[in-house]
Amino acid sequence: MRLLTHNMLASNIKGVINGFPLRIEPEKIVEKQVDFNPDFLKNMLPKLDWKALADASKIMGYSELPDEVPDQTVVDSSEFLQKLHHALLELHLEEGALVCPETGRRFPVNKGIPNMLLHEDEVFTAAVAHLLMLCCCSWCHVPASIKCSFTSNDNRMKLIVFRKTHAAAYD
Amino acid sequence: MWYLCVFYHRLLDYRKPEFESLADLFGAFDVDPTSSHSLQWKLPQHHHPDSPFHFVNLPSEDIARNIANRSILVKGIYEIWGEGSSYEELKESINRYPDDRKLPYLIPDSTFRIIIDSFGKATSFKDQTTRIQGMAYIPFQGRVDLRNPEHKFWLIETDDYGSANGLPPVVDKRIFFGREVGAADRKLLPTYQLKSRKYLGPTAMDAEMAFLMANQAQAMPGKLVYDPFVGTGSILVAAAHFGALTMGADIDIRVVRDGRGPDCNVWSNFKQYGLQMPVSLLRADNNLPPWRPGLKEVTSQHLAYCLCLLASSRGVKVGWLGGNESKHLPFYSAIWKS
Repeated sequence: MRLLTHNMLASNIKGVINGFPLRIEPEKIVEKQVDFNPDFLKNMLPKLDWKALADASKIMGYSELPDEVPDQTVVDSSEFLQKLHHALLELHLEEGALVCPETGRRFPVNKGIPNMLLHEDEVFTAAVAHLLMLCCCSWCHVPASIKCSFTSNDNRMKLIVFRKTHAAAYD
Repeated sequence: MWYLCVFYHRLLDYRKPEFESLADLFGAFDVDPTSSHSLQWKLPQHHHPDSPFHFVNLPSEDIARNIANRSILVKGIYEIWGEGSSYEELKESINRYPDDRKLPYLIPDSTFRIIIDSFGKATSFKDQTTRIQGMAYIPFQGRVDLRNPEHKFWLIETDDYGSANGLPPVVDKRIFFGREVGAADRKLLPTYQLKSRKYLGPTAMDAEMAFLMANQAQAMPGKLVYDPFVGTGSILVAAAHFGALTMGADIDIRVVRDGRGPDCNVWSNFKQYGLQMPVSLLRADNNLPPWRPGLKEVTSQHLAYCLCLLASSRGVKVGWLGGNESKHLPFYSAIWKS
């Protein structure tokens, strides 16, 4: 996975408000040479989230990028574009993970492919999860004390909590 | 200026959309960006809309040439010097056509050839020679070069061939004579044909269709093309051929990560043709696209069309219509336009 992809990806777990940028947990980083294409870089530059890119490239061990987007004269210089090119397209996260900044959920990166697929308990909104949970609880006769534990503020965790307690109630 | 556009007689519904996407790409609508981004079309008299012959109004010959050379379904775009329902009418019409449009292509040092074409029937070699000789009233001064001429002139005939060509009969016989401005390069189809591709899946997109889609998505250098259902990458290969950087997602991780081994996967398909590798492949579910807010989604008509095409062609093949995805067809996309 290259940093251009990282700059576009966000945690899409239902209920997460600020899922961007994903924190990179690098295990294996490789560099692959890519043809230099200044037009592509200039097209992409206004669409990038600069801070996320600069931070991510530091984590990937490349700290040549400035913290702020430089002004136009610097942007047009080939020296800057070469650096951007290297950070954006040549640094690859081969193994590691992307971590949701809000929930800490890890999206694994394996053989350079980020796995952004969610588990089914991550795709419901809080309201749906709550409803589903209440139905199930009454159906399964879960004791009231366990029900209370679901009123925790962390809505996203509700269903997960439910699953675990539910399993326990069944056992 | 009006040109005659002759299409290949296939994929009829995609002919004009491809043409107009390319017209947009090559700047036909730049003068008035608020225009409807569609071109003026006219049918020859008594022709059915499915006919391969269409007149089209284009702002310049350069745009016409660019469209024709890049397209998959345009057999040729011609500057028409004359037309008629008989060879006598054609002669009159050609003679009336202004000399300043004709003479630059007839000068002594140029090379040319005349090609006889007809729609729905074959013309015998003997007839072709007679027809070419019959054009002697045009003051050609250049040299004939059959292999690599500077100017190609086409004599194209349509006739009422009954139902032989699958179209409702054309009432009038019509003969066109014109100079070729540009023609499709369909040689890239055999180069990219699926049967010689290394990594294939059950839904690999036919090369012709993939190039058609890349044209409608206006893939070109400096752009990023994203296929939300990448599979074996057959659409991205076409986009990469036109110089775009590519990106793809699939819900099946085996397809995007493993393929059929280290030398037979999505990456190897790009390597096979010497194309730029995709920027990224990832596993994602398009019900919940993993893109950050503020990422500009482009839902241009071309793109929406392109994805409709994708959804319909794949929907049928994979049998999605009964599956989960049918609720959220892939109208999400992140092609970033320059």
